[in-house]
Amino acid sequence: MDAIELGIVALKCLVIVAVLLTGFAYTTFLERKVIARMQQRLGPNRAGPFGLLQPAADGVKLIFKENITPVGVDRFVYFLAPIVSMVVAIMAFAVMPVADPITVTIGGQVREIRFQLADFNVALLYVLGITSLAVYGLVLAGWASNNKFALIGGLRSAAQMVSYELAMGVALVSVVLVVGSLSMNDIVDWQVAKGLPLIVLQPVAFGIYAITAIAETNRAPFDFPEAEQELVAGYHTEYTGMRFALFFMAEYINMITVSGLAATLFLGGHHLPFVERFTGNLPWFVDIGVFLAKVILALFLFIWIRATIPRLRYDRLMAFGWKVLLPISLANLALTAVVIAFLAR
Amino acid sequence: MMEMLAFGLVAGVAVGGAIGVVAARNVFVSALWLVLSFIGVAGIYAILGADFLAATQVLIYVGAISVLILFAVMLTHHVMGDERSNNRQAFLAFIVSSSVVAALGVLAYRTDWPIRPADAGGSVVTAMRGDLAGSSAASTAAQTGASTALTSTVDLALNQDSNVVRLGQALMTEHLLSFEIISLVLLVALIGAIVIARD
Amino acid sequence: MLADYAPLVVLLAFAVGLGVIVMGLAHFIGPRSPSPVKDQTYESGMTAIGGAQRRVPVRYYLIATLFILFDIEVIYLYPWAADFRNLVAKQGFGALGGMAVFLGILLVGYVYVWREGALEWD
Repeated sequence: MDAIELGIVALKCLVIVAVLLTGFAYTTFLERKVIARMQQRLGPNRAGPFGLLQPAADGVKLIFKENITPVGVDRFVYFLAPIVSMVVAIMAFAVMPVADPITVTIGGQVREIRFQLADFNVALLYVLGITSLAVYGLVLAGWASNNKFALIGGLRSAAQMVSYELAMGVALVSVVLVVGSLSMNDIVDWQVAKGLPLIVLQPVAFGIYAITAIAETNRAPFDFPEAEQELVAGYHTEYTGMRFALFFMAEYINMITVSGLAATLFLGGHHLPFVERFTGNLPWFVDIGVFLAKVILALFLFIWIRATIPRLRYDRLMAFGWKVLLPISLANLALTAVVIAFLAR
Repeated sequence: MMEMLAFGLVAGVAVGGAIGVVAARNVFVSALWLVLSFIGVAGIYAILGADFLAATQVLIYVGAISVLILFAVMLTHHVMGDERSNNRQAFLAFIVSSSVVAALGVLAYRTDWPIRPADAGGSVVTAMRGDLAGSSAASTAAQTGASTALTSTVDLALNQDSNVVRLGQALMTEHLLSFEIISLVLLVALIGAIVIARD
Repeated sequence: MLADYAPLVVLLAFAVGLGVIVMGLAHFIGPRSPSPVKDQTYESGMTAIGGAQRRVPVRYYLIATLFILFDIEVIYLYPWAADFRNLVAKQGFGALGGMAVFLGILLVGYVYVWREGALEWD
């Protein structure tokens, strides 16, 4: 690993952080606009054309807000929690491939540049592992805030996230069974080689992934950690200004990540598996566009679901995770394994 | 050089986290330092080339067991304030833990680590890779098996030296019995957890 | 091998840096005028009674325990799944049977947990 390679890595990291931040800002905008339309309203439309500058205005406003540190908080943990949330959200994106690699010549040397920060054999487990850390930001915030609403919100979210993580883990095993690899690129390449996205072969796994992804990101109808009618603002009740913004950022970046994962695992990633049979491999900038389109589609679904489905009751939520999703995902796994065993024998 | 640097970093995180565990005044914060220490250990596994083990360390120890520890702390203690976890047994604990460290150190020093010199630079760290993935016989068998299977489907470039595949192979062949016993142990733990929680 | 993970460390540095910068911005730019009433924890306008660090129900502990046990089970599924075609080619349905026994034993545990009512949330 030489200096140029390190420079490329640093540049990639910068791009990832910048794109995720922009993505976060405009996902909030998209959400407000779409929900407004679904409720026969206009949504933000004052700042800039069509209200496009609204996220920037929100950001500036948040910076100039007063930061209140309530009495009795554990200061170390209180300040740590939002940073943990945000860092974990950004880290999960590291293994996402967004386009085919290109080769460029830098200083007389031919180098391959991948549109992906890192890929290794256990990339899928890495994503699962990192997303399982998201629970810490919430539990820490809940515990440190010295607020009963925050504590209950943090605890609930922890129990909810671990419960749904199980079903997600089992559902993704079915994907690994079909493809035979845990590497993101292998999974995408497999879908291209076979000419069909995995959602066709594994609709049940996709359904379970979609549901658990919503629960893991604490989005409606699974938004218990911050159920405003009962818990004020849940785990971030005592956070103001930019500290609150970090939690907000983490939530939306997590949405982008799980959407990207859905695109990669089930929708053919940055390729169009069926179409590319006729057109051949598309150039890298089209790849990025394809990936982006799939992510935005998934984000739209997130928002649509939020506008449509009311929040569950907490006991129903836990029962749904343990008694419905887990058995279904196990049954899907067993079926997949049996079918593959018959086909491969 | 790079490896030494990386090892220094993750070992520092692991040891620093461990020191934080004993130094923190609050049990909850101690548990958080333990999380950092676990992450450092995951880094050590990654450096040793045991990628699956590293991911498992994060998923199980950091993502699950530490959450349980946090819950346990919140369940049992009045955790706010400066309740020192030091007590009269501190000296005893020191003796026990330092003798464990000494025993492990002697063991690590006297064990004849199989070093394969031809492996990427020939450093000790890289040479230990294969042994973590299982016995060398199993891994070579898995490798040849894996490559035949792969050529028949799609060319999966990364998979060829994956120790995930080797581990799967080892679990289902020569370690099948231990593998099934693991599930029995988990079952016993499950029943135990229910019985304890009910009382 | 090591170069695979180095980018993660760089990204971690970037992410932590961003977090610290944002927290710093909030600290230095935002106005501050604390008052005893404002600094109280928010309990919907009521004066807070007692601290919030109190003992949590045992339910959460139980759920976390169950999660660990089933999570370990799920982890073991991955190496098996990644190598499944190969295993089938070698052992036929034995590859299926080995995992079926493993899951079957745990399924007994799952049924036990369900019947004991540990999955109910009252």
